[in-house]
Amino acid sequence: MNAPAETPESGLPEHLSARQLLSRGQRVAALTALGIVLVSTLLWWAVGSSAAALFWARVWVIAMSATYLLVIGFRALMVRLGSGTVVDRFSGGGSSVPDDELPSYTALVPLHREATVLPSLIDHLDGLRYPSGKLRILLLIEEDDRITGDALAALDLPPHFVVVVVPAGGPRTKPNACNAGLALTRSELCVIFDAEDRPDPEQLREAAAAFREHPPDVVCLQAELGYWNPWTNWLTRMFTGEYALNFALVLRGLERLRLPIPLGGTSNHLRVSALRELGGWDPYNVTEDADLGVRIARRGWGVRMLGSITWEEANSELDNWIRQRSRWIKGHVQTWLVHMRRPRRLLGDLGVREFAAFQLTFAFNNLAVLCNPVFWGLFCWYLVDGPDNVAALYPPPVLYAGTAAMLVGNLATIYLFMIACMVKPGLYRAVPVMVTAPLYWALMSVAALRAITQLMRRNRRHYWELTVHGLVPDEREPDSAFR
Amino acid sequence: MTTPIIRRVYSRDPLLVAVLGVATAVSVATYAWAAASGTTLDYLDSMSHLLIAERLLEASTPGAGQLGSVWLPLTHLLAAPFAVYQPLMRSGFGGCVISMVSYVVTTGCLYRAALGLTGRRVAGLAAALVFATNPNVLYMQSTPMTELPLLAGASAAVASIVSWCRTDDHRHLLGAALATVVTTLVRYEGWVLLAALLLVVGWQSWRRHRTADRRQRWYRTRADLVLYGLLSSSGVVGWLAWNAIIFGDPLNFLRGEFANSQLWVSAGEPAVGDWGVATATYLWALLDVIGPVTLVAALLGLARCAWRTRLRSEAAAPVALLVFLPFYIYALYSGKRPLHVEQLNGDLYNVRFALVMVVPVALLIGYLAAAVHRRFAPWGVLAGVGISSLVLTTGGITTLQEPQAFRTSRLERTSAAGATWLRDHYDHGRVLMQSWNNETISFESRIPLQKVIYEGSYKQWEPALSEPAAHGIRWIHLAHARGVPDEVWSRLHGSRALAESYVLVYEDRDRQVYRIREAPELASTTGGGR
Repeated sequence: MNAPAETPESGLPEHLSARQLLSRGQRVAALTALGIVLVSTLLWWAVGSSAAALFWARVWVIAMSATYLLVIGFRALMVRLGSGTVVDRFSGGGSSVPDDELPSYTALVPLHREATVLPSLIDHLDGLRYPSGKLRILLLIEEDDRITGDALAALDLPPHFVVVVVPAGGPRTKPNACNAGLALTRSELCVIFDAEDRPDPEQLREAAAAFREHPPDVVCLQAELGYWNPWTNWLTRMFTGEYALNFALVLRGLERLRLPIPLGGTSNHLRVSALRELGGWDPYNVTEDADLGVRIARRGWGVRMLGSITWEEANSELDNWIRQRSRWIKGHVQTWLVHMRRPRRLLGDLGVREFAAFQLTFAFNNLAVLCNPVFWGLFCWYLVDGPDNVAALYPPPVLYAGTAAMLVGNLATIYLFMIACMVKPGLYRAVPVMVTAPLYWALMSVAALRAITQLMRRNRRHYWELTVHGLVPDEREPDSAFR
Repeated sequence: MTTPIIRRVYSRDPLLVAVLGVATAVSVATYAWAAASGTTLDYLDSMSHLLIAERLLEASTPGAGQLGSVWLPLTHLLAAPFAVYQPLMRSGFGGCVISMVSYVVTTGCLYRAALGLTGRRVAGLAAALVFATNPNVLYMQSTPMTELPLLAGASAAVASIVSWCRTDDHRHLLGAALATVVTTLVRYEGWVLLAALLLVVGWQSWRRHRTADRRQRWYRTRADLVLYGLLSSSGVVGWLAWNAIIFGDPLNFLRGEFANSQLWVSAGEPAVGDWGVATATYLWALLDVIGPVTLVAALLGLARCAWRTRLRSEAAAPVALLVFLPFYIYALYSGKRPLHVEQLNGDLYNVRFALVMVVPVALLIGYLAAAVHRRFAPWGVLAGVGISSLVLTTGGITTLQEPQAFRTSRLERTSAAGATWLRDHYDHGRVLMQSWNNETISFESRIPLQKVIYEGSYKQWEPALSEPAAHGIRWIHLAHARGVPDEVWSRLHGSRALAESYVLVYEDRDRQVYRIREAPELASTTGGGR
């Protein structure tokens, strides 16, 4: 069954949209900061005094060391809290809710050039245990995506699957497609799945049961995401460790403290009425899920973690991984910039604790990743050139704090990854590999540089870096893959 | 902040709070006694530790570069903040407080470990009491020495390993790793403990997953070993790296100028090369420091532990601590470290090396106490520990007798007199003085450390030795204690540089002090000066 969609229109007000990168105030602040740096540098050249430039360099070193420790400390705290959190989990897959009492559900599945994984996707979505009369699965494809369109046409889709053609015109992004799907959604609940997803068959029932238990202001449930191919190569091992850290520990810690949760892109179960009231997704934001999580928090509504797992394919090729990661970082920066257009209002909406958590999650984290190469550069400089020249940047207290930050930070990062593998029973084998977490961080820095470069370029700002799926043959069940 | 933590612990185990409270009170009272009797700084090493800690903030070239050589750095780093107020360091409190905190921590950890091992509070109480009432422990916790922090780290590691063995919760394994890092950065015995606990973790993990298939069993064991091993060995790796960066040799602490064991192990040491004497020496030290009653009780506890558990599961952790026994015997045999006991050598030297055995001994006695009938348990334990401590105390506090004997030696009395002279006559200006082997002078003369140029003064020591006057040196201290000249004596004694620019103002059998010639002549004194 095919259904054309109207040109999707986001109901999002302009000040909450990432269409413009910076607000006027942000432009003024950025220019002022740039001016200070330039004047300092000019003074250095003109007067020959390095005092001003050196001062700012030291301030930067101190600030970055503090940022680094704050980010690591915050993540460690979330892991500590997250490991003791009880998530929504329903034995028997929420079958305590009789079929006739289950709410209507829509699964939104945006697809773009995904012909390879389509058979597996349809297979897994069809395996969802939910009354077909109450479930509609909208396969959202772009108007000009012949590859996916032809592949879909060749398949014999079950009746509750609907192919929705998203008209050209808007930004070619996943949230744009989701908004098109939302316009056609008539159900009480909806969920987003990605092309390579393998959701637990009971997930919808569990989510429905959980929504029934929670008050109406809990408008979103985030299912846990895991990778079914951790053993493909080093990259997939690290990626799996990172996902375990994020979904099994950090997000649960955020949930426990009721802090804003950056949603995970897929397997977000939402109350449709709330989603419409929030204005849907921002089609210009390339991590629309994380942005939606913040908007939910600003509204005073809640997100809870769901124990059910959706299995995905871990990215096993470096280029592909960097493209995907750069999109995530770009989207987080977009989200931060959007919500920081009116910081006082954001503070008022969220509260102090939540505001601080927002800064740590969306700004400090990415800042640390971006600045890491500079610190490594300084360290290499010290190793090659000795302490005499680099010492100017590092007065003794800063040197000690910076060195401690580097050592403790790297060790803590390794341990966070290892702990994540220890709490996921199938991942014990990956524990020794997590010792290389600093290398993985180095790759993140590469992705972060790419993200920032794209944000600077107007024509790449909203560009959706497509992640290629189906790189690993999908033959095994997740459980056996973990052995 | 503290109150909720105490409340939380109290709600779980009120006896633990009581044990910690009593330990704190005993710790403070004992320190007050030691401070009042002027014995907190009787060990020469205690002054070395305080000097290093102070030099981190106050020295001619202050900073982390002052850490190193044979001493591990953690206690110095912990004591360094006290250097902002010099009386805290010069009284010894800045270092003693670390030992005092360690004493309380060890008491609590031994209680926890013994309780975890046996499931009975009386066992925890017995272990805590055996440790906390030992007079040698009580004296050492009133000094800035490194023994108590080592005991705290070791007991915390064992308590955490016991908890991990019982629960398989990786957080306890991390706790054990963290505690082990502390021990490895406090004393080199901690490195031995690290190796022993690695074996325990591997063994326990392999046993625990015996139902899994061989591959999964290996993955689990490897995961536990990596989780424990990476953090716990980071201190050792860090120390090797530090030695490589600062001294250009990762094994400088073993091969460096001040690491030569011949500096403290004299020729003809009876234990060297003789397993029998080495073993007897350490066993006598054990008897002196821990006491015969306690040792017999510990042996009974070991027998009970071995019989009941076959050393499986969590029992392996405290038993692993017995590794210190062969380690020390080997150290004496190989001449790496000297230890003298009255019974064999006629004097005392490093008898405190036996103190580390108090941790396994306390735990084994805890095991024995768990066998006491519930009706008699608390009183029986109190009476038993009371008697053993009394027996030990009547023989004198060996760890105190040793430094007191040293302090009354001719050599040390001469040093003290020299320090007093310098304290009275030093006015201002830079002082050239080797630190090693002159700790008493450096510490007790109270010359501001910023003014002292010594072997750790970065890029200043060598130039000052070559041309002292040209480098602003006003005072020069030359020593040849025991007939062994220090670096300043070797380089400057009888030199033209000294004769032309400096005048001898003090001299005794072991040292000479010179002052720059431009200054008004002091009245020379001998035997306390010249």
